[in-house]
Amino acid sequence: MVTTSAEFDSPMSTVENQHGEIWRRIDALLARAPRLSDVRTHRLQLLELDRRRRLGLPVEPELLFDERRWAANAVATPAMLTRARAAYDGRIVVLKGPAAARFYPRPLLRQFDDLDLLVDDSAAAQQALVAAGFEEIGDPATYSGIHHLRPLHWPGIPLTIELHHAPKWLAALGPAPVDELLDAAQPSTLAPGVLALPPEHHAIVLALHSWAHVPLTRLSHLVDVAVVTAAADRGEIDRLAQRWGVAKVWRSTSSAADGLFVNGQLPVSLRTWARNGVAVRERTVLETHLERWLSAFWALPVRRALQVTARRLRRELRRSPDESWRTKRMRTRKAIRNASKRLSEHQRTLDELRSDRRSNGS
Amino acid sequence: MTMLRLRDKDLTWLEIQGELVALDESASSYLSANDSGFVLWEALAQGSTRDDLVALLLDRFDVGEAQAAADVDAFLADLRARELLAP
Repeated sequence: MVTTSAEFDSPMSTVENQHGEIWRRIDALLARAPRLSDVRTHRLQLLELDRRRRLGLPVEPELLFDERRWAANAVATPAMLTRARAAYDGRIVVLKGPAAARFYPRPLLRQFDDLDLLVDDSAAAQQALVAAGFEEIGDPATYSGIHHLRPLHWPGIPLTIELHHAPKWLAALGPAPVDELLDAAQPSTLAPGVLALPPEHHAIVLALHSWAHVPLTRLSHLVDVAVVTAAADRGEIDRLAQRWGVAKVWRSTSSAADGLFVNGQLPVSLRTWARNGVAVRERTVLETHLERWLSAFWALPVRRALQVTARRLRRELRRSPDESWRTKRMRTRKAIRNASKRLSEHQRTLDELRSDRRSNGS
Repeated sequence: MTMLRLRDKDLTWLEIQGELVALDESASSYLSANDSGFVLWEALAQGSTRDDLVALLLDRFDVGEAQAAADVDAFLADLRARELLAP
């Protein structure tokens, strides 16, 4: 098979013109990013690179490196999917990544590091792909009991495959409707015999995945939700979300995506604990704690949210197993002092402290 | 003149800002080329003779005939070594 450049970069023509306002707002948002590191935090490097080129702005070498890195993943996608298809005879549905990229003005604007494949039988599929020459990577303990198995790597190709028995979902809302997702999947253009979800289903999967990671943290997740939703029947999305018991978290995610990229009406979440999205920067220490204490109320029934929040608060107030109460108090004081600092800067401070203590023998 | 063409199996490529990123799937190896390399690659994807490739470089880039010929021969030699041309 020879796959050519034009096939990589042609979007779904039906959605090409629906997105003008979304992309104009994304541009405006990116223009506000205080630092390139913040763009990186939000995984929007390729969109930022595209914006800078269109405006004739300087382009940092690191953005060009990123572009080449993800081009390598894009160019490997058909081969990897074809190999997986040849090895395993059950259904293979591509989630996120290149399946979301088809809704972008140019698919090469959507970066991805791996291929998330939902399959009928993940254990059988893993065995089949390993038998075909894929190698398992990563610490097995990390992937025990989660929604996908150990990543699979083809020697020489940096793009990995993760075989899912379910999409990432909020456990508190019950299991994901895996059978319904598999049944709804349709032939995709990504590789022969490989499926993709209809936009209505995919929008919800993207929203739940985003929320299950860290709610409303990463703008790239909300861009995905916005562009896939723009191609979907919103009434059908609402009906699906209702039937799957995820209506609240869908509304919270879609209203955030709409507020940022469609109508400018920012929901309370984006005006409080998720303000970093509007500011296009990394979360601060305070915002991180606020998200832990409050976000459950945007996703779960109130009673369940209270239970989850209480559990999180208890965990925050306790010391870690390997630290003393003195260290815990010091960490807490540091967090209060650094409340307005970016989380990574605060984390570096803590790492330096730990390193100093170790070298002082304390 | 011999018609030269990229092999039609297990080869995927895309263009980024006029440059080439390609994957030889059978060897699991990547290759890249600058803008002149991409022009030659694209022509070979359709099929081209060696002389046509030289003419293409002369037409598109500010380069002399001797240099264009040397560049094309080097490019073709590299593709042959990688077994990327159709037999």
